[in-house]
Amino acid sequence: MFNPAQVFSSDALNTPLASWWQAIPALLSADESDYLAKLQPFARANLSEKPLIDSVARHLVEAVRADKHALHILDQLLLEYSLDTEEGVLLMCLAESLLRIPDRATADALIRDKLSSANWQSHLKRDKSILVNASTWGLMLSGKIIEFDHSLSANSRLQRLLASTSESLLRGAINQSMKVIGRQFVLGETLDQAIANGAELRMQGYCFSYDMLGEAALTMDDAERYLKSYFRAIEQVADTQQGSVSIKLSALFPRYEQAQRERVLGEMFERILPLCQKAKLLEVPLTIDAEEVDRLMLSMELFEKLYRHPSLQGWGQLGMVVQSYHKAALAVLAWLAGLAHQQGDKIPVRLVKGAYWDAELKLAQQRGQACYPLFTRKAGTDSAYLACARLLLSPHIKGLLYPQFATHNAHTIAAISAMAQHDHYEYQRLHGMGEALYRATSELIGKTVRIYGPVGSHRELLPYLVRRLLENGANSSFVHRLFDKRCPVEQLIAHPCTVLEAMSPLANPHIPLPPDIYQDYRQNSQGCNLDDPAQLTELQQAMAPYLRDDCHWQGISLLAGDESEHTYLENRLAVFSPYHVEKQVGQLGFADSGQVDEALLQAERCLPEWQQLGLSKRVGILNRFAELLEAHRPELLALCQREAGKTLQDSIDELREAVDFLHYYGSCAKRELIGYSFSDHLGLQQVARYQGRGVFVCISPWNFPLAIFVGQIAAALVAGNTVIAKPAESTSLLAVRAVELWYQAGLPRAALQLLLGPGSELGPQLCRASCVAGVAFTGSTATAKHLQRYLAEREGPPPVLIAETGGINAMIVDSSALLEQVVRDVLRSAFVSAGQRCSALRVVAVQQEVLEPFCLLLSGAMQELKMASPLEYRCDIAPVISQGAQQKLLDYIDSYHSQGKVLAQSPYSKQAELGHYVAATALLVESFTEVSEEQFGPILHVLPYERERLGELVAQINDSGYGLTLGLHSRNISHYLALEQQLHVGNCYINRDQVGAVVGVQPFGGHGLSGTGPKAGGPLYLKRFTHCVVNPLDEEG
Amino acid sequence: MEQLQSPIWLQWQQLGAQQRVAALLEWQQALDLVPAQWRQLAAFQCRQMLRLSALEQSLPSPSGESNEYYLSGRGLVFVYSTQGDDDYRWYVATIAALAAGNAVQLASDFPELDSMLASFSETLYLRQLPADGLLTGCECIDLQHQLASHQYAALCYYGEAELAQAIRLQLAEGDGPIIPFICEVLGDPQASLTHPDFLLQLVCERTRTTNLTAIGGNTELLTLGSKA
Repeated sequence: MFNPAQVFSSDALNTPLASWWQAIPALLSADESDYLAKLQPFARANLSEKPLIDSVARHLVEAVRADKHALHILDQLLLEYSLDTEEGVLLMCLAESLLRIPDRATADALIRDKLSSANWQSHLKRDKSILVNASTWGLMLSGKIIEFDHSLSANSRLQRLLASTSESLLRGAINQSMKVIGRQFVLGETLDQAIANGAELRMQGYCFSYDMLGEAALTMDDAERYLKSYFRAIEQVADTQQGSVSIKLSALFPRYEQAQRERVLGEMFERILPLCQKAKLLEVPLTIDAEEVDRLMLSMELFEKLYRHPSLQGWGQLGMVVQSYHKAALAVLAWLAGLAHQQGDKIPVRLVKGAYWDAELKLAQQRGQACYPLFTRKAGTDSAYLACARLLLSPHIKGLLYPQFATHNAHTIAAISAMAQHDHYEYQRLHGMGEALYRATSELIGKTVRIYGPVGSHRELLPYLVRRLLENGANSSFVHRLFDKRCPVEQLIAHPCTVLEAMSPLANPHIPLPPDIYQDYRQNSQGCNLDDPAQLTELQQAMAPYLRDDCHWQGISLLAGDESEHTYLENRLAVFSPYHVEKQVGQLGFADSGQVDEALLQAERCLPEWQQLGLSKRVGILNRFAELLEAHRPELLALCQREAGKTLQDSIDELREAVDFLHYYGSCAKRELIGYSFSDHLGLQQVARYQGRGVFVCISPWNFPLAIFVGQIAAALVAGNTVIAKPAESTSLLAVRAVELWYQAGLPRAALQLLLGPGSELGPQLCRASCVAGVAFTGSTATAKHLQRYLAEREGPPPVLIAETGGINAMIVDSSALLEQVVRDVLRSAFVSAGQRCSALRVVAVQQEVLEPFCLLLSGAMQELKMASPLEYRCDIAPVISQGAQQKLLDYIDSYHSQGKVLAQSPYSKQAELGHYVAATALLVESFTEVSEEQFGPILHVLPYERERLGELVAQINDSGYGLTLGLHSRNISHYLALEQQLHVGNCYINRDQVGAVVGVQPFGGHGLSGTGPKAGGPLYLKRFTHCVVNPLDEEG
Repeated sequence: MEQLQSPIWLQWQQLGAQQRVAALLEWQQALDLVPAQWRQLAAFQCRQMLRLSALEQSLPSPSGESNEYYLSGRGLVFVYSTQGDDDYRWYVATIAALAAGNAVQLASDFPELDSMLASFSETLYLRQLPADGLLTGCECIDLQHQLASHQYAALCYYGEAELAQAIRLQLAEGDGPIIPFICEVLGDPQASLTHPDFLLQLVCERTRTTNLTAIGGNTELLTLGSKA
């Protein structure tokens, strides 16, 4: 296990690079408290450093606070409206969105939404400066002041202002103020402007690193545009003979991600190499910015390939950014030092704390990772920064790595100055931040300071701007507290190790680990981070035996009586993979009607025994089954891939969902199915108890062959029913394997029997059986109606029918939405699982004013989707389930081709010849009513709408009769809440994709033609599988 | 922007369970037209709606996201009774459906039906609540046509077994959604109406998931990073 002490020894330079490489994923998964404890000795100040640090840090803070020019208007605003307040968040939302809205109506509506919803009164009371009076703020900055009647309350004043001021005046004023915010942080809209704006600071001795704003290119056109701007930047900076350029890799390639590693190290490398060669030729240092932790190792591989390229050797100005907020930072630095030691070319290293902390935490939670890759306390990040700084300033590192310390923290500046054993380093600050602090630093310490200066228009500024506002605006940030004179200096300059020592545990207990985020509700299922090369390799190795072509499964119906060997032998059906029609997965034997009758009889006989087992023991079986599913993960994932054609990520999510259902229904049963007493309509005390209804038939689909199969069965079983399961024919092998594991978990065979065969044959016989008390079904609306008919034909009390069916799911995008975010969410919602999800997006309605840029982005992004075998991690477009499904979808697309209404299609690949593939396709439609049928594949309809006719669109969506999922993309809260109320759907998703419902978090199910309810994974589901028996309390004894 | 027009049941639903139940209890308290024991049963179902509404909650979520779970009426419920004068199950079902946030169309031989509907509208009007079309009466002369010409979200029937079966079959034959069909036939004990879970078939569930970090950051989480 990695020990920080290893890197501080000069022997570390001779450690093979592979050792540091292997340490990185292990460190990202390391226990945070343990690792931080090991790190502290290297972060802590020694006896001689401590007084120096205290003295310098105090001096810096006092100097800033005494500096009359230290506080900009923006700093005052962020002090008052810190991002802990609703108002601060609303202002940040305005800053993020207002300037990009092209139409006045939407912009005005957004302003009103933000200004009218906040409680501004709390801010008006305590601040004497009218600079922070929100109702005059924007107007002041634009030079107009309005007098108020101070006898009115603040909110009344604001309402009067809103009533009396024309919206265009208000919009103009706020637009102006947003531009002021933007200018605070951007050095110039063009590099010429930026160079000109920085002239005075250069004369004072500062130098610059120019960051051409733009990141996360979605299309090759965007990537090309950014590449050209980087080339121009290098040429222009070369002319100044003083400055460097920072580049974001995600801006230069639309698929800069681990899954596309081959393309990154091939195609992307070929694009970036000339850029580096140019920079070398013109002697312009180049720094590769750090982005998300998922791309850490990929960026290192790319960096190494560039660094070692013969044309770049001997340069020593190709640098990298290292973030101290993740646990592997020291190992990354050791690796870089080793690399430089091998080749002999210096590597500039900008050490930052990191800018994606909250997003990384959320991702780890969603993925169900064992822990976070980052430190969960700010003091942890700060102390790790100092440990990294100590390494960078070590004598044996000098000349190999050139440290560039990016910080706005007075203590950090002082600590670095104290620990430095040489002066071969520099400080860095962001343009718009830390001016006063670094004025004081220059006077006191006199080190080189480089300013990181963003260059670009407001459009590219946004992600950067929001990160800066968050850094400045969080109450807890150093910058925020520096200007807050109520914060004592001692607190401000406290050593992070001292702060940490006062905390126990070292990991933040207020941030639960990913497995625990659902608290007492249920355990979070185990995930796998496929972007971690070590985890991916381990998983692929474990799956390898099951992915072999000669690995086959055999499947027959599983009944309580003897297995029907004769049926299997006589009626074998070969099963082939949807991604390669010649690759066999196994063989199946279907049940006959005699076996159906036998299964029904056995299920009915087993009922009393199963019910008498008791709730607790039934839950125990569910939990044991969940463990077995996780233990057999490699095999089950392989089956999902080979039989159902699912990508690896989809398969992992499938298994996780199955496990989540088991945990959730187990815990839900203990809450909801225990008896309770109540007072009836006559005031008498009664007791309600829940009992199973009897024999349940569970019919499940092929698109979620494990999750829904398991979920329905688990609900029925835990509620005290026996089950006959009828899986989809296309994915029966997986069902067989799952039921075998159910038995292994201790479930009596007769409690769950599996019948394989065509639904059209088994369905009627099962539904018409008098002992069947209920049917749980997931599939098409048409099939659900058939089942309804069979059940209606029976005499006596009708059985329960729980049906979850399809949808024509819409997403509505208004012009305040961030289109890059929208396109990402649309791609996932429409095309993940080849569009074979009932939740999938079918129609995206886009406000007319942003239709064209949306279509451009969408089309460009679709060109980057990779059609491949789902066994390959790089696969974006997996096959559809069958040749019949494929043909139906292709015919539908052809009908649009003939009308010239195909907006875009993802490229076909040779893989398409091997299996049932349909390219991701976007079609243009003129009305929602054009889409009358659910197309169960990767087909998206794009529908422009006019803002004034939104009501019509809402009516059309409701009139379709479906109501499953809905996506809304807007920054206007009151607008999207109103829409959500108006549209009759079961699952509404706001400003994100609309697929991937998590059990217990987004209970899933719709209305009307989309299903009967109750929602799967919701609090009412289990009760539907039961009878409620009510008895007087005194009879209960 | 064109104002989004809400159907009457949605306006009623948006009042919330507390307000709906309060209005219904106030109305039926003075409703001498219906015997007291049936009004007691209706009040019981109103209390169940309040109990059920306690399920509405923010569900545990990953950071940066909120997931709100709540209940809603289904839409327009058809309550149809062909039972005798002394059986007011149709009344209890009507109240329950209204408490759950639905609009109701009522077909019953109850002789005071018009008075009842008028007093309902008046009560809501006095409370400044939406009333037009919330509870309406009709004569069900041709049941087949009645069912085919309306988009009902649920159906409650109290009457004869044969007609119940015919309704069941007609609902299954049609192209429309699979809707809850609650029925009790003459002679059945009032089993379902006395049950605390009766309303479950008259509500539907909704989930609203919001990405709170869409603008680019999770301010709440950031402050936790500095918490001791």
